[in-house]
Amino acid sequence: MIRPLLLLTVLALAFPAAAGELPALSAEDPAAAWSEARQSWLPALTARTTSAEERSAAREAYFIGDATLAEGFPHLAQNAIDDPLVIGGQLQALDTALKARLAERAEPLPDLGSSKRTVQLTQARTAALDAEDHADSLERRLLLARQGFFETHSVWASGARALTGPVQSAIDALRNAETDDDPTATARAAAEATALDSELAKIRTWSSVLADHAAAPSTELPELDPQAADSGTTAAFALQRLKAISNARPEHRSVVDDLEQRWIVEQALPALSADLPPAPTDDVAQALADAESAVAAAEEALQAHPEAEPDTLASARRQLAAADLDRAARWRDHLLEAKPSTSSSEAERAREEAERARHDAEAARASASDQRAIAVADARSGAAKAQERAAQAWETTRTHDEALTAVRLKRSADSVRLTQAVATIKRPVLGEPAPSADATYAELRSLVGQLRADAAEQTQKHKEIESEMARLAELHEAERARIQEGTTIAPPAMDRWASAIEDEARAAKASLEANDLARDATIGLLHDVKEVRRELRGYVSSAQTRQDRADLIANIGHELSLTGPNLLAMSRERLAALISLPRRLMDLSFLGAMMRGSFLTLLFSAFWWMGRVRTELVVKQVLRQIRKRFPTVRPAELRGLRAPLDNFLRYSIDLIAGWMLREPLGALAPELGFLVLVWLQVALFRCIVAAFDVLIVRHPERRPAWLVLNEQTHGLARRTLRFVLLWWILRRFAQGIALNVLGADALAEGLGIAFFLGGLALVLWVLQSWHAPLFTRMQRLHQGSAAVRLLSTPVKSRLLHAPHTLGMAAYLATALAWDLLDRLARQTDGIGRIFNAISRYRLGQDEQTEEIAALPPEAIERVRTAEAGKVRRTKAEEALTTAIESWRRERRRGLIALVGDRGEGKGVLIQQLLPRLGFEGRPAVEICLTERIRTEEDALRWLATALNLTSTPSSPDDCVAQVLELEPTVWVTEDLHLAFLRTVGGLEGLNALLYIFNATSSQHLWLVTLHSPAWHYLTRLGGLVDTGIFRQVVSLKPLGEEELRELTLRRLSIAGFTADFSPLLRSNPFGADPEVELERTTSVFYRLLAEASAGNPNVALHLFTECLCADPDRPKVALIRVRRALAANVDHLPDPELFALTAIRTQAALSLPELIEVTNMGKGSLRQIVKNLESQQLLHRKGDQISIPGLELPSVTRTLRRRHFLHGAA
Amino acid sequence: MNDSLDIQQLIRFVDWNRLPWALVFLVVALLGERLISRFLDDLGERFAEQRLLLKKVKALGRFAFFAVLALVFSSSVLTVDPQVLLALAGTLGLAVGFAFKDLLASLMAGVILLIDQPFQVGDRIAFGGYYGEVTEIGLRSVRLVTLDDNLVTIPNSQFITESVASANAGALDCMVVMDFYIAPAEDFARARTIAAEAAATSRYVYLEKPVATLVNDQFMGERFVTVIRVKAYVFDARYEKAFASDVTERVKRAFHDEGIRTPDRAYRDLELYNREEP
Repeated sequence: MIRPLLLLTVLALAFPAAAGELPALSAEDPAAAWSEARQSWLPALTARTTSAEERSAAREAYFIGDATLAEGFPHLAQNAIDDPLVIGGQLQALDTALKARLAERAEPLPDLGSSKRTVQLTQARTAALDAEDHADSLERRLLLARQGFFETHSVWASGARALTGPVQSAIDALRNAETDDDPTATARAAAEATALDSELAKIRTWSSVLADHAAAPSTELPELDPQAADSGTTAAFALQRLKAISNARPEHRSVVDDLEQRWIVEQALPALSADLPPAPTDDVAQALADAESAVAAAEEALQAHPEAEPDTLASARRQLAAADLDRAARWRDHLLEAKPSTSSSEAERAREEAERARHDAEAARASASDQRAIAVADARSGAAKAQERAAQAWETTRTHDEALTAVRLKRSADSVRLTQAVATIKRPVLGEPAPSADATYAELRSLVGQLRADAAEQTQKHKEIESEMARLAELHEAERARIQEGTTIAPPAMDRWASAIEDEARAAKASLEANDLARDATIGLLHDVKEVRRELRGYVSSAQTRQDRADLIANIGHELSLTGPNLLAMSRERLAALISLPRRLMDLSFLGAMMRGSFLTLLFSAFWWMGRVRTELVVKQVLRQIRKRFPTVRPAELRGLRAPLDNFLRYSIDLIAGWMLREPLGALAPELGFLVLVWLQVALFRCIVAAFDVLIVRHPERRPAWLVLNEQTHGLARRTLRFVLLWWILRRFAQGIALNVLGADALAEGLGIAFFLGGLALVLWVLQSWHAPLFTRMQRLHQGSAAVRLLSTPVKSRLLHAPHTLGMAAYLATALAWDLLDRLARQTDGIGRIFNAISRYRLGQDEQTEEIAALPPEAIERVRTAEAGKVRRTKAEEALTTAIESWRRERRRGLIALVGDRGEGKGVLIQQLLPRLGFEGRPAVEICLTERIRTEEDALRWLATALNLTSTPSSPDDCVAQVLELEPTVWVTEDLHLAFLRTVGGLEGLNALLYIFNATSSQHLWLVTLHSPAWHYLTRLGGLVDTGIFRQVVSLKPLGEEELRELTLRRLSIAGFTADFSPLLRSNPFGADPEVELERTTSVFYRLLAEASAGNPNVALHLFTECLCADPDRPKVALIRVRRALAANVDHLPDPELFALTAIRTQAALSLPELIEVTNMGKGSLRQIVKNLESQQLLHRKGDQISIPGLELPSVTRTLRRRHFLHGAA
Repeated sequence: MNDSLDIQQLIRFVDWNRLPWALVFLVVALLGERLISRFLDDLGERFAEQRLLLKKVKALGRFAFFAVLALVFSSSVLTVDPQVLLALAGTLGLAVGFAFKDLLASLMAGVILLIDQPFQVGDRIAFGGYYGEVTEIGLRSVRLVTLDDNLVTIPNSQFITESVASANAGALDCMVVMDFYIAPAEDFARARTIAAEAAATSRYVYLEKPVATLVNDQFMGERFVTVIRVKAYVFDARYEKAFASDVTERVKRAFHDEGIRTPDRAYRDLELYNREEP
C-alpha cells in the first residue's frame, strides 16, 4: 500500500491544478478584482492550459508510436507498471484530480464588473480544465488498458512479477554486499548488479511493450499453467505477443530478437529433443498422413532458413527449423513403426477365419454320417485348407511388410545421421569436433551398397512374388472348377472356399504392392544418399576416390540393373503427382507458383515468337551498318551474307528463349522441362554451326567474312566442327541425364570415360583429316627455318600423321600469334619498343663469315649527299610561305623562326625558299652569324657589319633607327643560337638582337633559324628572353618510317642502285609467304632506322649507307645488311661527362673555354672529359668548336633523356 | 581441452620432413630478392626518369614478398590443428602480442606508409631534426641517408604520430631556395637579373618549372640588407646542394664582375671611407 500512497503524493505535487491552484482574490472592488485576476488568474490558467496541451501532445505521440513511455508519461516510466495495485493507485489519483476539476468548474466566479470580463475568465478556466481533462483521459486510457490486460491475463501479471521479483531481490542483495571490505568482491558484486539491472530493464521493457499493445484482439493466447511462473512459459507467451506487434520500435525489436534467441536455445530446442509421445492407437493412418505433411512443411521451412553465423538469431532459427524437421521425421517414423499395417490386421482376420473354418470342418467331419454329409465335410475341409493357406499368405505378407519397414526405418535413420555429419563437415562449428570426412564417406558408400542390395533383393522378391502369384493363379483355377462342382452340395462352404481363394490372391497382391512401395522408397533414399555422397566428395582423400574407381564397373552394373525399377518408381511418383494435382491446386502457395510459372512461360514464349518474327528486320539493319562501315563492299556481296546471318539470329533466339523457358516450364511439369532441355542442345548445335557459316566463307563465294577457305578445307572444317560439337553436347547431355535424372553417378562416370575415349578417337580422326591441308600450307612457307623444313618433309607412315599434324598446327598457330603481335607492335608504342629490341637483336646477327664488299665510295657519297633526292619538307614550307605572305599583307611582326635539329634540313629548306623570299623587287639577303655573340656590343657590331650600316650603333635604339632607314628587306639569319651563351650575362647579345628585330619588324622581315634544343632552352627562361615576339615558329618534325623509306630508296635509285632486303630474311625463325615476310622485314628495318636516327634524315642516310653491301653477281643491286648495331646506347657514361654532353647538345657547338664557362666545371677535368669523349667518338672538333657527331646525336640524346639530363621537348 | 599444451602436440606442429626443403626455399627466395632489388636499382640508375617509380615498386615488392614468404614458409612447415590454435590464441597469443607490440606496431605502420605514402623511397624528407634521402622503407623501419652521409634508422611507428615534410614528394625534381645578400644601395634590379640568370644557366637547373626571384629588405643583426631570394628547381634531388653551390658561385662571380657589393663589404668600405675622411 505504501507505493500507491507515494504515487498519490507525487501526483499531487505534479498536478497542482488538481488540488485547486487559483488563490482567492483579495480585492472587493470589481475593477480591482479584475485587475488582480488579470495579473494572477489569467496567466496561471494559460500556463495550465499550455502545460496540459503539451502533456496531451506527448501522450498522443506515445500512442501512435512517435514517443517513448518516458516522453509521454514521465511520471509512470520508472514505476512497476505490471503491478495492478500500482495501477489502481494511479487511477485513483486521476479520479481525485477529476473531482477537483469538477468542483472548480462548478465554483462561481467573483464579480468582475462586466460580463465581458466574466466570460473571458470563464473561457480561460474552461480551456484549462478541458485541456487537463483531455491529458488525464489519455493517461486513464493507458492505465485502464493495462489494468484490463492484467485482469484478463492474471497469470501474466504474476509471471512477470515472478520474473522481476527474484531479479530485484538479487540486485538488492548485491548492492548491500558493496559495504564489505574486500574491494575485489565489491567490484564483482557491483558488476553483477549492473548486469542484472540491465536484465531487469529488459524484462520491464518488453513487459511494458506487451502491456501497451494489449489492445490487439485477434491474437490467440496459449494455455498457461496457472502454477507455472517459470520464465520459459512466460517468455514464450511474451514472444508470441511481441512478434504480433507490427509497430514495435527498433529498440523493442532488438529485445524481441534477443528474447526469441534465448527462447529457442533454452526452451524450444530442448523441448524438441524430448522423447516422443506414444503413438495414437486409432486412426494411425490419418496421423501418418498428417506427419508426412508436417515433414514436408518442415523441409520447406528449413529451406527458408539459410546457413548463418553461429550465435545469431538466424542461426538459432535454422537450428530450430532443423530440430523441427528432425522431430517431425522421428514422429513420422514412430507412427510408421506403430502403425498397424493392413497386412497384420488382415493376417489376424485370416487366422481367425481359418481357425473357424478348421473347427467347422472338424465338426462336420465328426458329425458326417452319410455321403452327403461327408461331401459337405470334405467341402468344408477344402475351404478350411484354403482359408489356412490364405492365413499363411497374409502372415507371410505381414512378416515381409514388417521386415521391409524395419529395414527402411533403419536406412532412413542412417541417412539422416550421415547427412547431418556431412553438413557439419562442410560447415564446422568452432570448438566442436567435426567427424572424419573419410570415415563418413566410407559409411555413405556402405549405405549405398546396402540400399542397392536392398533394391536388388526387393526386385528379386518382386519376381518371386509374381511367380508365386502365377502358381497361385493356376491352383486357384483348378480349385474354382472343384468349387463349381461342389456348389450344389454345400453352397456356403463353397462360397467360403471361393472367398478364401480370393483372400489368398489378395494377400499375394498386397505383398507385391508392399514390396514395390518399399523398393520405390529404397530407390528414392538411394538417390538422396548418393547426392549427399557427391557433396562430400570434395572433402575426402584420394584413397576414397581410388576406391570408387576400383568399384566403378561393379557399381555401373548395379545401376544398370536398377534402371528399370528406377524408371518405374519415377513413373509411379509422377502419376501420383498428377493424380494429386487437383488437391494440390487448393494449396495457395502451389497455385501461386503455378501461376507464376505460367506467366513467365507466356512472357518468354512471347519473346521467342517476337524475336523469331523480327529476325529479318534485324538482319537488314545489320547489313545496313556493315555497308556504312565498309562502303567498298558491294550490295551483291552483302546479299550473300543475309541467309547465314538470318540463321544465326534465329538459332540464337531459340537458344536464349529455351534457356529462359527451361525453369518455368520445368516447374510446371518436369517432362516439359526435359523436352526444352533436349531442344536447347539442338539449338546450341545449330547456333554454333550457323556462327561458323557467318564467319567463314567458302571460295569462290564472295561476301564479307572473317576467313575464306577453299572448298575442301571449308567442308573439312565444317565437318570437324559438327563432330566436335556433337560429341561435346552428347557427353554433357548423357552425363546430365545419368546424374540428375537417374541419380546414377557411377554410370555418369562410366559415360564420361566412354566419351573420353570417343573424344580421343575423334581427335585422331581430326588430325588424320587435317594432315593434307596443313601439309600443303607448310610447303608454301619459306624453307629457311629448320622447323619449317622438318615439318614440310612428307611422312610415309599413316601412324605418324597425327603427331605430324599436331606439330604443323602448333607451328602455324605460333606463326599466327607472332603475326598478330607484329601488327600490335606497329600500332602500340610500349610493345613496339620491346619488339624493336628483339628485332634489333635478330637482325644484327649476321651469319656471313666471308668479307662483304661495300658499295663504291662515290655511290655511297651520292646516296648521302645527292642534291636531287633531298627531303622536301612540304608542311614546313607551306607554313613559312603562309607566314611570309601574311606579313607582306599586314606589314607587322615580321619575325619568323625555323627550328630544327642539326641535319634535319633547315638549311636546305631556306635555300629552297630563298628565291621566293624577295620583297618589292629586292631579293632576300642572307646574313650569317659566324661566331659567338655574347654582349650587346658584339651584337651591334655584327649587325652593323652584316647590314652594312653606315656606322656602328652605340645602342640598340641607335641601331633600330639606322635599320629603319634601310629599304624594306627580307633578312635571313641562320644559326641564331650562336647569339647567346648559357652563362650569366650570355643572353645580352641575343636580347639586343631580338629587340632590334622586333622594333624593325614592320619595315623588315627577319627569318631566323635556330637549333631546336637551344630554342627549347630559350623558351623556358621566362622573362630573361622574350620569345613571344615571333609571328610564327615553324618546327621541323622528325621523319617517319615511310618517309625514310622513300628518301633512302630514292637516293639509292639516284645513285643507280636498287635495294635488296632479302639478306635480312635469313634470321627469321617463322616461315611465311616469302613476299609477305620480305615486306615485314623491310618494315622492321625501317622502324629500327627511324628509332636509331630519331627521324633525322642525315643520320638516317648515314646509317642506311652503312648497311649497304655490293652484290658480286648483280652490280646494280645493293644488299641491305645490318652491319652496325642500330640505336646503340651510351649508358656507361658518368655524370660529369653527361653534363658536358648536355651543354654541347643544347648549344650545338662550344669551344673549350665556353664549355668551362657554361658547365662551371674545372678546366682540367673538362679537358679530360672532352678527351675521353673524343676517344669514344662522342665528340669531335672542328677548329676550336666541339660538337657531337651527327651520327651520335640520336643515341646521345636518348641517353641524356633517359638519365633525365634533358627534359621536355629538348 | 587441457589447459597445458602437450609437448607432443607442440612437436606435431612442425612438419620436420618439409623443414629442410622449406629452408632451401627460404635461402633461394632471399637470394632472388637481393638480385631483383639490385636489378631494379640498376635499372633506376639507367632510366633516371623512372628511378623513383622503380624504387616504389621495389619497396612494395619487398613488402609483398616477405609477407608471401612468411605465409608460404609457415604453411608448409607448420601444421596447426584448429583446436590447438584456439588454446594457443588464449594465453600464448596474449604474451606474444605484448612482447612484440612495438614490432607489430611498426609493421602495421610500414603497411600504412606504403598505402598512404606521405613519402616514398627516393624522396628528401625532414623528420625529427634529420634531413636526407629515403633509401628504404622496410618492414620495421625507414632508412634515411643525410647530407653528411649518415644512415639514420627511424621506426615506422614514429611516422604515424609525427609530421614529416617531403621536399620532392615522389618527383625527381625539387625546389631549392637560395638567398643572396647585397648592400641596400646596390643595383638590386641588376642583382636580381644576375641571380635569375645564374639559376637559369646552371647545369643542374630543371627548367620545366619556373625560376622565381624575390627581393626583400630586412635587418640582419645590426645591419640593413637587401635579400635576393631565388627559388628554382633542380632536375634531380640528389644534386640539391650541388645546384645551390653552382648558382652561388655564378652569382658571386657576377656580383664581383659587376661591382655589386655584399652588405659586409659595403659597410666595411663605408667604415674605411669614414676613417679616411678628415
